[in-house]
Parts: sequence; structure tokens; C-alpha cells
Amino acid sequence: MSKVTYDTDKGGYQGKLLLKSILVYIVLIILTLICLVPIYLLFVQATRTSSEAVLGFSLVPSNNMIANFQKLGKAYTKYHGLIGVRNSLIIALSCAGLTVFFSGMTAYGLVVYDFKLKGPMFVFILAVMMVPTQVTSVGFMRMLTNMNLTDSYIPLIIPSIAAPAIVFFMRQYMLSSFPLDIIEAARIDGSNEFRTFITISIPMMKPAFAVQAIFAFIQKWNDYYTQSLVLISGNNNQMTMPMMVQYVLMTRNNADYGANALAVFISIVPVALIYIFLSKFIIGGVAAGGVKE
Amino acid sequence: MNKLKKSLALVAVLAIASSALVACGGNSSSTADTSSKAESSAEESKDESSAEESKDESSEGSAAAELTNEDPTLSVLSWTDNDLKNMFAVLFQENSDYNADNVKWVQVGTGGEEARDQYVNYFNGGEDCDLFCLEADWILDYIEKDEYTAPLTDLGFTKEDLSHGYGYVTAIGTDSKGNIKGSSWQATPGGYVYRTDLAEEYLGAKTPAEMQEFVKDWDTFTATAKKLQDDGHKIAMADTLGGMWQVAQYNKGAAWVKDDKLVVDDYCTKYLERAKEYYDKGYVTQEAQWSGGWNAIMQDDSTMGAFLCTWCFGKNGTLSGMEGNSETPDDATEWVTDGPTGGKFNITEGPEGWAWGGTWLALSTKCNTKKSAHDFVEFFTVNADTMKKYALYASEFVNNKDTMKAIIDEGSNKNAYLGGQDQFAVLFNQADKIDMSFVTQYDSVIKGKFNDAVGDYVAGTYATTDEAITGFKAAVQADLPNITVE
Amino acid sequence: MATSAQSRIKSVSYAKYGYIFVAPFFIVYFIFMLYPLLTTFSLSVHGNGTVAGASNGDFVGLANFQEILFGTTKNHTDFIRDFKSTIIIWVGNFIPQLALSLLLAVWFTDMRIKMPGKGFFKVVMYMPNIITAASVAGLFMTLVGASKYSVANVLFDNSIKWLQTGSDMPAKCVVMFIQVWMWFGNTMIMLMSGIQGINESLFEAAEIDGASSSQTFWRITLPLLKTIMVYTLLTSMIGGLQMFDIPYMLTDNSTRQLTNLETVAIFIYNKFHAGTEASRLYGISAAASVLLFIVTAILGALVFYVQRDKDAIEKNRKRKQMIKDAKRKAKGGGFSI
Repeated sequence: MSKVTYDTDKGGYQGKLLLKSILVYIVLIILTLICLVPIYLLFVQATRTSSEAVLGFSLVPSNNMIANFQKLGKAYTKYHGLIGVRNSLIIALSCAGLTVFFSGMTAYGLVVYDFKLKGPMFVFILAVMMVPTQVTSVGFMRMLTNMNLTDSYIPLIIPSIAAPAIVFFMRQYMLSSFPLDIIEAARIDGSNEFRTFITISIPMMKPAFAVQAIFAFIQKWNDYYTQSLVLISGNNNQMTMPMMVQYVLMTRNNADYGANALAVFISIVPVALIYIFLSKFIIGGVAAGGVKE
Repeated sequence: MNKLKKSLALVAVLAIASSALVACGGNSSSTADTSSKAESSAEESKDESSAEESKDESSEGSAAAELTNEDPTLSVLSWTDNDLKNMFAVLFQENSDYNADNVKWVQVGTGGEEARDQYVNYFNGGEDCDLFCLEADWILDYIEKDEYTAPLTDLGFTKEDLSHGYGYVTAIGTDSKGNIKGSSWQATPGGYVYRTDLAEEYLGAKTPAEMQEFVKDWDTFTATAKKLQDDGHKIAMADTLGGMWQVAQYNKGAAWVKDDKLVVDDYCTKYLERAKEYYDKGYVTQEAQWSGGWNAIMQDDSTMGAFLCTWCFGKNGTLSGMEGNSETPDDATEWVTDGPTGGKFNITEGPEGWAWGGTWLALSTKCNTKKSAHDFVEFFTVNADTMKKYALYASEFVNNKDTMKAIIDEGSNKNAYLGGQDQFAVLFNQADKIDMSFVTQYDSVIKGKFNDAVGDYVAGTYATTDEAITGFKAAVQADLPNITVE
Repeated sequence: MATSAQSRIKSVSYAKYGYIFVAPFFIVYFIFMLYPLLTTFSLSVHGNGTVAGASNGDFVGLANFQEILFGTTKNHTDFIRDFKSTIIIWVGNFIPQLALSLLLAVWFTDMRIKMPGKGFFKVVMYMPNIITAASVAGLFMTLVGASKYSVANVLFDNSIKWLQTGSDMPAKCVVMFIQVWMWFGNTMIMLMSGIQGINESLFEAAEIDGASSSQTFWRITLPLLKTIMVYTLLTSMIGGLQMFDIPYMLTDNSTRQLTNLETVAIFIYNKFHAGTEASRLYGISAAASVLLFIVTAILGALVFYVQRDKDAIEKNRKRKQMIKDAKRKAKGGGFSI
């Protein structure tokens, strides 16, 4: 009977839906503008001369972008966009890979096996998740200096093996949506534990891996603080994108605000492109799995 | 083979040059001359020695001859390439032994304050570390520590070599044991830079001398600011509170800390009052130094002038950016002044004589390129000839009074950003008067806190100067618990 | 449900794999993070130290904590002010961010709303999150910087002091806005994945029963999103309490940060760099971070407690129900699996 009621109501219902769709669209368009207009304004600034850039803003691009580009290459001695992007990519990609693999492994260990220290270890991970990063830098620097690890990527990359927050996420994910019976079945088939983890659970955890890999990538891509601490010599070949951006923004001598905007803009473009190409996979990946209630 | 000969020849050259230097120490006024002679004779011998006799000459070497490079690269640590870029350009031009491969600047941090912290990490990190650039505000942090810095006399210089510059420069570079550990290529007197076109239009001042009458002391300066506003011009006389502060902090006239006690005198109150009055009445703009807005106000006719010092006028320097000029290439002789206010400025002494910071070169105890380090320090802070070349290339006020006098007399410095004016002539007398004996190791912290208080006072967070001073004292006490604050 | 055979296999023969699987985490953690962490704890009970040195200053017990929490110095007042700012900025960005993300997530997952270009919107909204904080700060300095020519100042005709000296709420609002701008897309995707995890038949059933969108939202979506919301709340809280880079970098080249934008993390950073090379306020800095750690831990535990407790109750209820059922079945039919 309810089916019938539904059908008679359909006209008004559809109308309501249409109205709602329009409302939704208006909100979405506003949000899209809020997201894109700042980036567009930055682009416009990047096409202007320094004095145009400081003397106001415009919605129409100017024609100084090439000159700004040349200036970036020449006047800002330490700025090498491509090298910065390359270095940031090296760090962010290896961190993302290590982070998801080892966090997945740790979470797997915590979920699948029963062992004496399991409880305490989990509590430990929870506790250290809440350690503020800023001040551990005293000890961190002292340690790096003692171990002669400054100006090296090792302290930027290796620690990402131990990412408490991601372990926590993975654990929650596995608890809610990972069928332990499968492992049992694999065992019966004679698969060893590591093979089971790699061939069976990783594919099953793909959505969680994808999400966390992206988050980890972005976090490392953005991590100016640690990078500037570790790569103290500002070696051209080692500097990362955020360090170069910061260098350009902090340059006082004859600062060119058009070129500054261009530097910031350039730092955005490669990730934006990568992101747009992968977005279908990224957002699809997130949507495909999802954390079950 | 060729390379070996060349390097042997170089050792020989150095040997001669340095023995000449060592020999004629004493009378400081003559040293500059002699050292340049030594240099030119060395130039000659370089040509000769490319033949065979180089070995003989090197055997009579002195201290400097023993300096060797254990590593091909001289690493100069700095937080910015502001000065170094021009310095390197001149060095490479004048001395073919050096190029971008064997002299490098290492960027440590992105600002002076960050460099101050990170030098230590860098030093301890096992990287190549030969020369430090140190800022006046915190130079004592480093030169008072023998584990980081070595006396420059280790490079074969005598104390006399290092002290023909301005007395205050040497004084700051000298540690409490009397070792000269810092040597600077610059002296940093400052003045008031103003828009010639606006000054003529609004005030009728046609020359810097006439303009000086409008800004000769603070009362006159204020009166001029008021007159401009009363005449209906929407124009500020001073650029930023930051600029006014630089003048004021120099003229405080007493050390911030004496016998471990914070000294807060009337001058602080007076400055707070002036800052507030200027800020409220629009005699100074609300922009911040070193921001895009700072450049903007120098181009939009809303500001008469700015407080700048010698290192702002260099090739592709601060003033160039403020005028909105594009970059002048390294090899260009004509400077580019294509900005909205390019070349429209002149400089005058301003209401008070003042000086602003400065950068010193110090020798790292880990230096493993002593020969190059010696050459570098010599080129920019000892050798009058090369210093002159640098002064003319970059239009920078170098740390040698005789050289500066000679340049002014020749009239060979015409600064395009200042419309062809010779800023050296305006600042020469002031340079002689600079006294920075009141610098303490706490200065950068204390000045920062005072500026915070000024900011809060002009913004109205503090209602009275007393409140601002109390807040300032509390802030100093919190960060510097070892200092007595009353 | 695990059979007894499973749990036997699990607990007896595979325990060592548990240790092997978690070993890399703990090894790396102990090497790279525990030492710095312990140093922080140790510093918090010591006086001033030097940058390079092994010297941590004299042992002072809890004096640093005393000074920060109850002292008479500016370290106390600054810490309290910064703590308040941190909370205000976090709450001010978390609530709108969560509301907005939730709304969008519901819309994006609502099958009934026809939405061509859905993918495009999702991509665009996530975009701000991929920009480095340094670039975001640089970007927003041109938009709302202190210069009279910045976009916001031109639009508002310089009537509002956004990031000028002495600015308080407007400056905080700028930071809140930037935080929402950067993170709402991220939160939205997290929540979407949560909603998509909800059994679709529930929504279908609701639709057939004629439930309105808001009824569906309040009765089905929201309660079932609890886990993911707790996760979002927790990570956002930890991130929010430790907020550093945007407020820190949102400053003109020369000026220091606006005092009203100082967060606890910036306080920690500033004290860590305060004083002179010979004597840094490491003690105060470390004590502040230990306090921050404690606060975060307490709040985190609270969030957990609230959530975990309900789960446990739920499980408990289910188990009792099952036992009852089993008993009933045993009584009634007498058969078992």
C-alpha cells in the first residue's frame, strides 16, 4: 500500500527535489568560488610586475609572467622550482609509502594476533599520538647532531614508519570491516603470515591505504617545520618546495612581489595537476571502501 | 701540470702580499696604501711566477703561506644573499682564482633570528663551515664563544690589518679578551630618503640641503608633517614605525642592559609618545617594513620618505625594490630604474644621525679552507683597493674611511636609485660619529619586545605609556630571567 | 564471531607474529621519537639550557609548571592567553567545518539529488588541502595582509583591521577561515566514506517509508556516523590544539606574529627560541609542551571513553541477548551448531 501513496505524491516530491537541487547547486558554486578565487587571484598576481602586485589587485592577468619567471631563476639564487618539487616528491612519496605499509602492518599485528603486550602497546600508541611535535625538536636536533644526520633525508623519511595516528586509523578500520575468517582460511591453505598480509589483507585494505597515503603525502608535502630543522644548510639540491617558498617570501632585498606570487603559484601547480589526474582514483578510492559503522 | 704551477704561483703571491702587510703594520693610515702596493706588486709577480721561479719565492713565505685549503669550497654561512650576491660578483670578476664552484654561500634559516639559532646546529652537524655572517644584534652570541669562532689573526692578519676601518666596526668585532673575531666590509650610517618631486611640489625644497631644513630635528620634522596635512595633502612624512624605530633605537644613547639590569629611560617614553602621535595623525603610515605594503607606499605618492641606511642603496638593493625597478643584470653598468618612482629619491641626513645594524664576517673554528677564507676577508675588509672596487660596483659604503674619502673626492659614485646623487658624501660625516659601544647580547630580544609594546600601544591595547612600559618590562623579564628588571 | 578453534590458533601459535608485525613501528619510534620525547620531559623539570650543549640547566622540580600555571610572570599570562586563543581558534574552525562537511557529505551521497558534475565539485573542494601551509600563508597575505592594498582591505575600505597590529577577533577569524578553507574538503571526504559505509538498504527503506531528508539524516545517518565522527573529532582536536603553521606564518615579513594569534604551539616554539644563545627557556618551553600533552591526552581519553563505553554497552547487550537466545534455543529445541 505504501507504494501507492509514494506514487501519488511523486509530483510534489519531485518539485521539492528540484528546488533542493537548485539550492544545493547555489551553495556548491559559492564554495567552488571560495576555493578557486584565491588561487586565481594568486595567478593574476603572478603575472604582474612587483609594483602592480603591491599596488592592489585585479581580476585581469597582466603580461609580466615571463619576466617574473626569469627573475625567480636569476634573482632568487636559491630558488629552483623543479628541484624543489622533485625533492618534495621524493620525501612525500617515500613517506606515504612507508607510512601506510608499516602502519597497516602494525595495525594488522594489533588486530589479528593476541599477545601479552598487545594492550599496553595500543595504549602506548594512543598516548604518543598526542605528543605535540614542536618541542620534541630540542631532543630531535640534539639526536640528529649526535648521529650526524643533519642535512640528510633519513630523519625526514624513516620516522614515518612510526605514525601513531595512522596506526590508530588502520586499526579502527580493520576492526570494523576486516573479516578475520579470511586469514583463517588462508592459514588453512598454508599461506604464511606475511604472504597473507601482503596478498590478502593489503588488497582488502586498499581504500584505507589510499586515504591514508594521500593524507600522509600531503602532510609531508606541507611539512616546512621539520624540513627546515633537518636540512639546515639549505643546500640547493636538498631544499624542498616549502623551504623554497619560504625563502622567496622572506627575501628582503629587492623583493619582487610579482615573482613572489609566482613562486607560491608554482608550488601549487604540480600537486594540483597530480591531484586532478589522480582525483578520480583518490576520491573514488575513498568512496569505494569507507569505514563501516 | 698547469694547475700545479698556477697554485704554486698563487702561494707565492700570497706570501709576498702577506709579508708586506705584516712588515708595515703600525701606522694605520699608511697601511691601506702599502697594502694596495703590495697587492699590485703581487699582481706583477703573479705574471712572472707563472714561469719557473715560483718555488724560490714560496720558500720565503710567512704565516699566510702556510694557509692551505683542505677542501676546495669556501662556505660562507648567511641567512640571505643580499650582500653576498654583489660581493661574489666582484670577487669573481677581480680574482680569477675564485668562481661559483669554490666559493659558496650557504643559506641558514630564512631570517637573521633563525640563522642565529641554526648556525649552532649547522656547526655541530658536521657540514662544511668556514665563515659566518653575523648581525650586529647577536654577534656577541658567537664571537664570545671560542668553540665556534676563531680570531681572524689565525688567518695571518695582524690586528692592525683588521682595524683600518671605522672604530666602531672593529670594536664590535672584538671579543672581551681583545681578540678581533669579526670584520665587516661595511659601515652603516643612515639618513632620510625622500621623494624629490613631492618635496619640490609640496615644500618647495629643490636640493637635499633645502630639504634638510624641513627635517633637521624631530620638532621640525613633526611640524613639516603637520604642515603637509594642514595643506590638505594626504601624505605621511615617515614610512613605517619600523623605520622610525631604527633611528630611535640608535639614539637611545645608553645600553639596554647595564650590570645585568634593564635600563628603561625617558627616551623610551618619548619614543612611545612620538610613535603614537605619528601613527594617530597619519605622519607615519601603518604599513610594516619589508612587506609589500612598504614598497607600495613608496610608489603611490602617499609617503614623503623613508629612513634607510647605506646597505639599502646597493645594486638591486632594498631601495630598488621600493622604487619598483626591475633587476639590473650583473654585468650591466647602467642600473635599471624603470619603476614608478625609479630614481625619484634623494637622501639627506634627517632629524638625527643614526646607524642600522651591519654584518660581520667571522672565522669558524672548523674552517678548512683557510687560504680562501683569508683571501675573502682580505678582499672585502682589509685590502683598500678591492674594497674600493666593491664600493663602486655595488654603491655600498665600505668600512674604510680613506677609501670612502677618495671616492667622494673623485665623485665617482653616482647612485641611480637616488637620481645620481652620491649618498656617500651625505653619510660620510655621520659614519665617523657612529658609536655602537652600547650593544649588548640581549639587544635583539629586548628590541623585539619593545617593538611589540610599541605596536600594542599605538593599536590601543595599552592605554598609556606607563602600561606599555610595564608590559614591555614583563615581557623582557619572562624571556630573560637572568636580567634584573625593576 | 571467532570460533574457539580460531582463538586457539590466534592465541597460542601466532603470538610471536604479533610482535614481529609491530616491531618496525616500535623500533623506529624508540630511535627517532622516544629520545626527543624523553628529552622534553626531562627538560620540563630543568632550568634554562644552551642550544648545543649537553647542559639542561639545573634540576628545578616542578617550578616551570608552577610558573606557567600559577606564576606572576608574563610566561603565565601569555600561556593562559595563548591557551584561550588556541581553543577559540579550534572551536571556531571545527564547528563550521564539521557542519559544512557534514552537509556536503550528505548531499554528495544523497542518491535522490541529481547532481551532474559531482566529481568536479569534490575535486575542487579538496584542492585547498593539498597546498603547502607556507603557500597558503603567502596566498592569504596577499588577500588579507596588513597592506592597505590587500584584497580584503580594499574591499572593506580599510575599515576592519584584519591582520594589522593589535587585531584580535578579526585576525582569529582569518585563521579560522583559512583552517576551514583548507580542511573542509578533507573532512567531507572522510564523512562521505563513513556514510557510504552505511548499509544502503537502510536509506532505501527510509525512502520507501517516506522519510524526509532531515529525518533520514537525524535518525539514520548521524547515529551511524558516530565512529567516523569520533575519529574526525579526535584528529581535529589533536591538530587544533597543536596548531602552529598557519598562525605562525601569517605574518608580514618583518613583524612578529600578532600576539592575539599566538597558539600554545607558538608559545612553545617562541620560548624554545627565547633568551640568548647561552640561556634558552627550554624548561618553560618543555613544561608547556608537557602540559599541552596532558590536556590533549585527557580530552582524547574523554572522547574515547564516551565512545568506547557505548560500544561496550552495546556489545554487552548483544552478548546477553545471544546467551538468552542460545539458552532459549537449547531449552526449546535442544539442538546446537
